[in-house]
This record gives sequence, C-alpha cells and structure tokens, in this order.
Amino acid sequence: MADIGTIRRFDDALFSARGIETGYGDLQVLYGVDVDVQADEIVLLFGPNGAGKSTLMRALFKQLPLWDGTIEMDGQDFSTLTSNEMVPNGVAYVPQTENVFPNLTVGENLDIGSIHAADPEERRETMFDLFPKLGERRSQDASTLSGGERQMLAMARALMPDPDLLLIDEPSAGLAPQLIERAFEHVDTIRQAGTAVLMVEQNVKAALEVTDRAYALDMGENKFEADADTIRDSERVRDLYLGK
Amino acid sequence: MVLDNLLQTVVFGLIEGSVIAVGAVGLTLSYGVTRFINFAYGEFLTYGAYLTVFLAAGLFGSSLPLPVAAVVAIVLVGLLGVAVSRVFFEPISQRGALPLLITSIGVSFILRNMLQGWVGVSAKQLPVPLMRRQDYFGLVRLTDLELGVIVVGVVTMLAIHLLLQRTMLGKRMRATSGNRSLAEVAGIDTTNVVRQTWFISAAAGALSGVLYAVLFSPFRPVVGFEYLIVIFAATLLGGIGRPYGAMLGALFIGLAMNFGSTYLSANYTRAYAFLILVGVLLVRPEGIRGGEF
Repeated sequence: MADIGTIRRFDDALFSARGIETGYGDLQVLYGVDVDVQADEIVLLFGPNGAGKSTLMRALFKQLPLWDGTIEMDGQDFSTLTSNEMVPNGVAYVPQTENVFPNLTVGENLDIGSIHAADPEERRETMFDLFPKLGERRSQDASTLSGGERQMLAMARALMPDPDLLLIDEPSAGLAPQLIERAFEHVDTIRQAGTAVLMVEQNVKAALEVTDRAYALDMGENKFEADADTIRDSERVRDLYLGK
Repeated sequence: MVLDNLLQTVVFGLIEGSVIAVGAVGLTLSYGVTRFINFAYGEFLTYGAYLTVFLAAGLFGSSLPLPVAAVVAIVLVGLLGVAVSRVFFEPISQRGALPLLITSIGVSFILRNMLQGWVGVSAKQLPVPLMRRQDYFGLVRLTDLELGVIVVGVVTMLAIHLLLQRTMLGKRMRATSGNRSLAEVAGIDTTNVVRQTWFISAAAGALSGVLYAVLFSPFRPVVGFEYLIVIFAATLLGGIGRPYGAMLGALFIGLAMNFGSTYLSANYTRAYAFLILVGVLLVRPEGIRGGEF
C-alpha cells in the first residue's frame, strides 16, 4: 500500500486524466490534476471548498475547455470529444445542481437518457427496480419531485445508456441525513452492476464507506491519493478533512 | 341580430386567431431553445407569402398550384431560417440575449430590404378566388377559405402538440429548452436541435404569412414586419417560450382585435393588440421573461 502523499499512476486504468488544466475566462482553477479510475472502482474526490473538485468534473466531461492535459478511456483519446459525445462513448455525468429536466416528466427524463441506450426498455425496468419511487412517479413533472427523488432521477437518467463510467458531483447534496446513506448505497449498487464511479463528495466520512480509493485536491492540484482504508485510518486526513 | 353579430365576431376572431397562433407558436419555439426574441421573425411571414405568389405565378419556371406553391415556399423559408441562424446567430450564440436580439433586428432589415430591392414596394396578392360567405347553422357566415384557415390553424396546433409530446425530436427540443447545458450532458447534440427548431420556427412563420395573405391580400414587403407586433402580443400574453400559452394568447388577441373592430372602431384593429401588449408588460411583465416548454 502506497503512503499518503504520493499520487499513484494506474497504467491499466479504465479512465485516465493527466495534467488537467482549466478555468473560467482568465481565471485558472486547475493546475495539472491527475485522476485514474479503474474498472469497477468507486473513486472519491474530496478537498476543501474551492479546491476545484466540481471544476475537475466539468472539465472531465467537457463542460469546460481543456487548457492542457489529456483524457483517455480504454486507450482512446477523449480529449477532443464534445460533452454530448461523451455519452455514446460510455461516460455519463450527474451535475451537482439542475441535474433533471424540470419541464419533462420522470418518464420523459429517462427517454432523454435513452437516446444512446442499446435497449431502452430493459434499462428503464432496471432503473425502476433500482429506484421504485421513480416508477410510481413516472408521469409526474420532474419539477414536482422532492430533492431525494430528483437525485435518483438524475442518476437514473445518467445510467440509462449503461455507461462504463459515471461521474457524480455530490450525490448527497441537499439530502436529508437519513437519505444520505441510501444515496451511497445506490452508488455501490451502480458499481456492482458494472459501472465505475468517480464522485465528488463533501460528506467524506459517509462516502468513504463505499469508496475504494480517493484523491484529495487542494488549490487546483492533487494533494494526495490513497486507498479508502488508508485514508480512514490516517490521523492527518482526519484532522484536515473529516473534522471531529 | 345582436347574437348573430356577436357570434360572427367570435368567428372572425377565431379566423385571425388561427393566423396569429401559427405565427406565435413558431416565434415562441425559437425563443424556447435560443432564449432571445427574434425580431427577424416577421420576414419569415413576408417571405412565405411572396415565395408562394412567385411559385404560383411561375416566376421560377412552371407555375405551381397554390397549395403546392405554399408548401414549397414554407419549406424554402424553413431552410432560410436555418441559414440565417447559422450565418448570423450561431457565431454569437455565447454572447447572451441582447446582442442576438439586436442582430436579429439587423437581419430583419437585410431580409426586408433585399426583398424590396428585388420586387419593389408595390402590392402583390395571392391568386385566390373571390368567394361568397356561406351560412353555417343560420348563425355565422364564412367563406371556404376562411374555414380552411381555421382548419389549417387547428391542424398545425395539433401537429405541434404531437411533435412536442410524442416525438423524440420534440422531447429533445423540450429538454434543450428546459436546460441546454444538461441536454448536452445527456448526450443531445443541441446545436443540431437548435437548427431543427429554426427550421420549424421559420416554416411556421411562413405558413402564418401564407394564411395572412389568403385572408388579407394584397400585401407589401413590410407585411410581416408590421404583423410582428400582433404576434408579439399573443406570444407575450401566453408567456414567451410556452407554445400552449402562445396558442391561447393568439386566440385572445384574435378575438380582442375583432371585438374592438366590431364594437369600438375598425380603424384601430392592430392598436387593440398593441394595447394588450402594453398591458401585459405593465401588469404581467414576467410574460417577457418567458419559460420553457
């Protein structure tokens, strides 16, 4: 097991982002971040506010232009793909906010998700099995859903094409405390169904319960990377990021 | 007698409401996905009417029967809409609504004056036969053409409804309207959706122009630009970006214009629409902020 402090490289990773630099306008936010996700892994990104976690997710999904760096999946160069081309190439993304179409029904949100699905009907049934609440509300406008239901719908929409990798920005954001654990259980179920997960999460303690590996970001740079167990046992991390 | 007059006014309101509704839905659809008010929209009406006249008169070779000429003209204007958006609007689409809106005013000048330079300012008219109004149920009287305009209006509204609710293109349009960035994230090529919407919007404008020309020939190159205010009134009354609101707004404006003409003064037909437009902006300014469909 590597020490905290080094950033391991996984050459056989499913998804590799190296030297990612991006920002908004003239403001640079990321200064060369590396992230690898292996097949069937749940990887956590954490760090203080303003570290650039959400910015990294947006850059990885081409919602922001890459100033520098490369993104590869399965040995293919993804650096020049546009956002809408990521989905047919096996990557899906759940933004932190405004992640459902409020003016579409639950069913129609999944229809949009099914655009790049090989077998939409089967996927829809799988989603309704995973999130039974959505099945009950399938003809309701998404704007009428509760925060927790929206988060489920956002995940279900992203999972419709059965992606190889799911990027989730704060699955527990805005959820009532008793729902947070459920959200991470869902993440674990998603992984068991064969989709690797890269997630940003403020609620590090709860997220580490299902996480395999984690990266800490700070000031737009990699701070350290380690297995979840190592991080849980590390006093330094506990003091810095987990509180109490 | 009083009742006859009232019903006849309602029918005239429905006829004009159909013309407005087709135009208003087209305008509101393009707003819904692009988030700016296209002031060049009136030119789509004008070009629809003029191209129909020219195609029917055989200006481009053999003369086509009027309905065929109208369909061809509508498709051509749809393509014009796509071309206009690619040349003028796409390059500045990231700069926000105001530059786009002002550009669209410029585009409207270009299109209008190009047409004027080509055909002059003299009035043209569609080769529609003069018709006698027929009695329906002994209550209202209207020509076959007027009845046809209502039918085309209703069919168009149904078609738009089915497009938006039942087709994947319609759902992509609604998703793009609801949240364009999320639509991209969900794997929708929104640039393509916007182009398809421009086609539908411009084609609806052209159809509205043809219906207008059928009812109110003769017309000049400013016809669409002048009628735009009426379409705006309907669109804003329904909340811009909302197709079903535009349909209702159009009915209301059509009725208001004809009731005003019949019972107040026929000199101010468009002023009634304008008055409602001002009223909407005063009382319900959120109408102009718009929504998604």
